[in-house]
Amino acid sequence: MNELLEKIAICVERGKINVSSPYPPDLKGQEGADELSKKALDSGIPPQDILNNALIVGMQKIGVKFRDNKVFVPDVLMAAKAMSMGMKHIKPFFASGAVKRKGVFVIGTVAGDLHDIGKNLVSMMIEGAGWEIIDLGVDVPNEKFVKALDEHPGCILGLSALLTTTMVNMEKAVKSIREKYPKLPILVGGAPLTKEFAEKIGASYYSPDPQGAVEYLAKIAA
Amino acid sequence: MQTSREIINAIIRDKQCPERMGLHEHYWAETIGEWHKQGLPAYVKDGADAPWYFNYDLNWVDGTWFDSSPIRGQNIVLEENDDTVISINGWGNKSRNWKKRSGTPEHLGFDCTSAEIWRAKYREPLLSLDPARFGDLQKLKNDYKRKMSTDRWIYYSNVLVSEILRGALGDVVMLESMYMDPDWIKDFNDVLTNHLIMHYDWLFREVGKPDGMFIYEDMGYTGAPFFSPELQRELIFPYHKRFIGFCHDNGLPLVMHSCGKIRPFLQSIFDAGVDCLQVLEAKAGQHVAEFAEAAGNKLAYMGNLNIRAYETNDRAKLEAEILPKLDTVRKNRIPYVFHSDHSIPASVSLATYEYSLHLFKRYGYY
Repeated sequence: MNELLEKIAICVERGKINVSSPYPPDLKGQEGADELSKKALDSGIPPQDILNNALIVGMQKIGVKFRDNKVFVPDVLMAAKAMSMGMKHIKPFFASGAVKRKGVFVIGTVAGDLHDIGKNLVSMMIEGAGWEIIDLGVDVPNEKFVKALDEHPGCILGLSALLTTTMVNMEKAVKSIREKYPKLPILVGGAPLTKEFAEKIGASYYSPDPQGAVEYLAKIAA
Repeated sequence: MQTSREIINAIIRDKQCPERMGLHEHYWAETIGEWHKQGLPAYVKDGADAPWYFNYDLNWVDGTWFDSSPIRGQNIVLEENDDTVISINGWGNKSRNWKKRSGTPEHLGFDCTSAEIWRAKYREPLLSLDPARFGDLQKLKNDYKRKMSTDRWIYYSNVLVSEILRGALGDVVMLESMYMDPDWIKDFNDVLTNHLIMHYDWLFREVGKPDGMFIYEDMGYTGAPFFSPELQRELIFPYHKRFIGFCHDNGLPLVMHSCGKIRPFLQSIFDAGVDCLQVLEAKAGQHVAEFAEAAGNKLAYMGNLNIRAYETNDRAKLEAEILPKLDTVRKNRIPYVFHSDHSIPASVSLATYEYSLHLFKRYGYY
């Protein structure tokens, strides 16, 4: 891999945002994902390569470490922050078609549930894997999910619930969505969920961690 | 027969096994209302009445969980409908809350998002004693006298630095700042710890001391702790140790609640001086026996009974969850208080909950 791309991947994985960021201490004063991504573009590296071979690689590495409990939420947040600084330079190329995303992922927390940290972490990781995120927010009524699916044909859906008391609403959401989209891939996640519950309500996949969701989407997109 | 106070003092203060295990519980807001439809007497109005009705060993004094936000009492309502209310609290935190249901709020925006803002707007008001934070002091005194005159083990409760940080800064700013500006986090925790100590010191002198303290301090979710053990050691532990030291200097043992997987913090929790660890979420893959083995019964434990088993409302599944755990607690002589691994939701029927109490009464002996 190109040395510059390797450096960008390391910056994302370690959460090195830019030259002025004090974190991580051992990279203090060095360029971060922001400067290096711009440098890579200026040196003629195609933006798709920067996305696929640097930014996504860094997020993939932090995702695996997070799944394995080798790093924690602050590390993922810093990595996502570094990724977004790199993406700032890549985003203009989406409009021209010079950079393509892997697909569209619609996500929201089900009706009756106001939690968003888990949903946001999953969104960060999936965006970091090259997908466009349509975040419907929290306490999302079933009809809003269906409307978003109508507006984004071919997308994949993610549902989150954090309370045992709102798991029942997830079941209702899946049932309602399945009436119109019987074969739609639906991922579900959240603290009280289990694989058995996901199967019982007719969801396509349950992941206990964001990396599992990223890997499931990668299989679908392949 | 030992009294509740003697039982809980033996378990929590002395880490001993008295004649039986202790009994306590928490509920989601809707549960008691749902149980009224199933035969719970109407005079059990809410969770505060439940300790008497179900004969728990522990109870708390109302009003001791004081408002520790810089702009005391601020609650500016911006928007309201039948279900939710959007308001700004004393930390400048804009959030949407359920009006009739339990659950954490939707965070819509935080104001205290940098060390500069903290120093300019929020730090100063926390430096001095403000007894008005306890609200109606006479009511608090009456509740204290009434409850301390019983044989129950009575506690004061509040949140501590980790929980206050999350509420004030929000998850993202808090967790990012642990890396980006650890000195701010240390200053925040230092000020808040002193603030809590100053106010409880005043309350102990003005009202009296309870049997112990109960601190709610979420540090994890189902999969892992919110932050690494290294960050916990550097940024949270010193303030736990200071606050718990203050409690111990006053002769008060401390129960610490944390949701989620906190096994990686066990040594730190023990070193800080926590007396009883609550609530040991089973769905986070935690077992009271494993904790007790690691800490050598130098801690007491409360919880760990998987709420998912309760929610099946199936007696056989409830027995399969509760009986082996009580057996393990008994065989290993673990100082233990019977409690679910979080709070009882409305999906658990009154009959199921009463059956769990039946199992406790029958098998909750050492």
